[in-house]
Amino acid sequence: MKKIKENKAVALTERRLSRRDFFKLGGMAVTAVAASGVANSVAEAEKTFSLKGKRLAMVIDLQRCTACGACTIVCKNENNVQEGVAWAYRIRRTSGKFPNVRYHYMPTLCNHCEKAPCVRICPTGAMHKEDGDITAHSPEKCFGCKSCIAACPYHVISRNSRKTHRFWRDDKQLIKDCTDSPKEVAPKVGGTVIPFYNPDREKFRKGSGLRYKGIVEKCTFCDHRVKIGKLPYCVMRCPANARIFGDLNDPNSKVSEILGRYKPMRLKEHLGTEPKVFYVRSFNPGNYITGKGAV
Amino acid sequence: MIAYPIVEQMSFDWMIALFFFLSGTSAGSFLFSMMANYWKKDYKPLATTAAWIAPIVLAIGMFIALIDLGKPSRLWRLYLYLNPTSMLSWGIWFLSIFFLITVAYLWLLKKDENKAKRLGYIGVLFALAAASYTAVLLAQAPARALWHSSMVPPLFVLGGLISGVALVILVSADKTDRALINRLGRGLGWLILLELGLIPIEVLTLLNGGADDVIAAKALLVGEYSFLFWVVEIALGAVIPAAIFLRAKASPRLQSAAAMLVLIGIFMMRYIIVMGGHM
Repeated sequence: MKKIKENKAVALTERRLSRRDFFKLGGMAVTAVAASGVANSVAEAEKTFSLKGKRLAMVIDLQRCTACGACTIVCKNENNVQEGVAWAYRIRRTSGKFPNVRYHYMPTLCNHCEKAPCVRICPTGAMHKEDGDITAHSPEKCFGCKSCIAACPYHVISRNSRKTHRFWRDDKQLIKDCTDSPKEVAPKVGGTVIPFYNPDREKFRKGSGLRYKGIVEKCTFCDHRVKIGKLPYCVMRCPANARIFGDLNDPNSKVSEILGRYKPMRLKEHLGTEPKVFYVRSFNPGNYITGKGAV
Repeated sequence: MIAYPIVEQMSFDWMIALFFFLSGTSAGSFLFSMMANYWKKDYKPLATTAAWIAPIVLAIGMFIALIDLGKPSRLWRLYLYLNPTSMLSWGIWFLSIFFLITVAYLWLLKKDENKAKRLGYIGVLFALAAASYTAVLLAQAPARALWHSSMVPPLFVLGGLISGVALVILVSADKTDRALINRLGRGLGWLILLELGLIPIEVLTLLNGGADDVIAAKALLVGEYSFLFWVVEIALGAVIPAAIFLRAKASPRLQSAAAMLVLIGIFMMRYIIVMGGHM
């Protein structure tokens, strides 16, 4: 049964790819562009990129971040994450009293900790460290015990326990009389639609393209893109260049440069998990007139 | 938590709390059975009842833990892979071996007392492991204050012993010799008082800890879990049954009711610790 499903999934790859790229390009794409996207991804599959000895990290520049939430949205585009779960998320807080109000926004994702509690607690080795120091998850080893969800201090792991992909029964068109509704697309792809299928992920880790119900999931640092030398999708699509990705072991990388220049902050550092998502600067509006204060 | 207000999925919930409760109860009744058979021999009439309770309750508990898994059909992976830093990886062996020992012990009790005794001593070790590993499993989550309290392991082991003995009383209150049950009841009463003594230590340690610890302690004392904590766990689950058991003479029906209350109280203790960890 599983075999059949996978075969169907592979058969669907090409058709789904064009659809996926359509969304990736934010609705601007025409069919010709989508077709060339397929050709590109086939060529990219040839050259894989060695991550050995790298310590991949992300720097989020809060001064540049405009709180647009594009990272949350494009992550869903890339990884087909279902409703109610977000691999790229944010901390939002409004503080103060009018007119002295401040709005805090901090994008979050899996911190890919060097000493990851989820790796330590995972009883089957499904959650593990990989080349590039990515905290990766092998879906075929996971049996959904939820102990990694309990162990994660950042609440970024979730179990896929939803009834997957209702959207294929949805008959709403994204743009009226312009795009197909999911209901119209479903019969075109053979009527056998696999929920949350991600052909790019399937290439590198068997079983991870399918997103089974009942196993845990989290941000992967887009390792399916990183392994072919591309940036994670949230980094690539950040309109403000607030997300910077790179190798901590390489002193000439952009992340090393920024971390040398600004004092970084990491979430819940006191727990000793050594997170690899760094925050530098913070949005700081305006200036103040110098003075010594008063008693 | 104030510092990190992200909507999170509930990891361990009431089903896991029930599993902790049942596995602890099983370990407790096995310990009691060993004690009754080979140490305090006056309780020997109750030993077989307790030996029956252990495997049955453990089987129910393990079944509940199994249906809480996302993919129960892959349970075999847990046996084939050992992650030495994962308590759950050890725990499945503790539980499985303990289960086999309880079944073999029950069988040997009728066949060969000497062999049952030798097996039982190994069983005591595994009973303690099965009752306490769950507490260490909780402590493997670095960011959950309530699970880190040093009192959780003793509370879990003692709670298992208390609920195990309470279940023995509940099952055999009206069938066995009154004097024997009364004595056992008094012993249980003292155990409950001992557990009541541990709870202030836990709460006070948390109250004097960091910000997260204080949030967790306040959730118990005045916050979200205050009703369950004060009324169900402390008053109904511990103080009232302890008073009933410590009284010289109580009717079998009253004792059964008190034993039931103890079981609810111990389950609530585990429930509050498991759920309160999400604060």
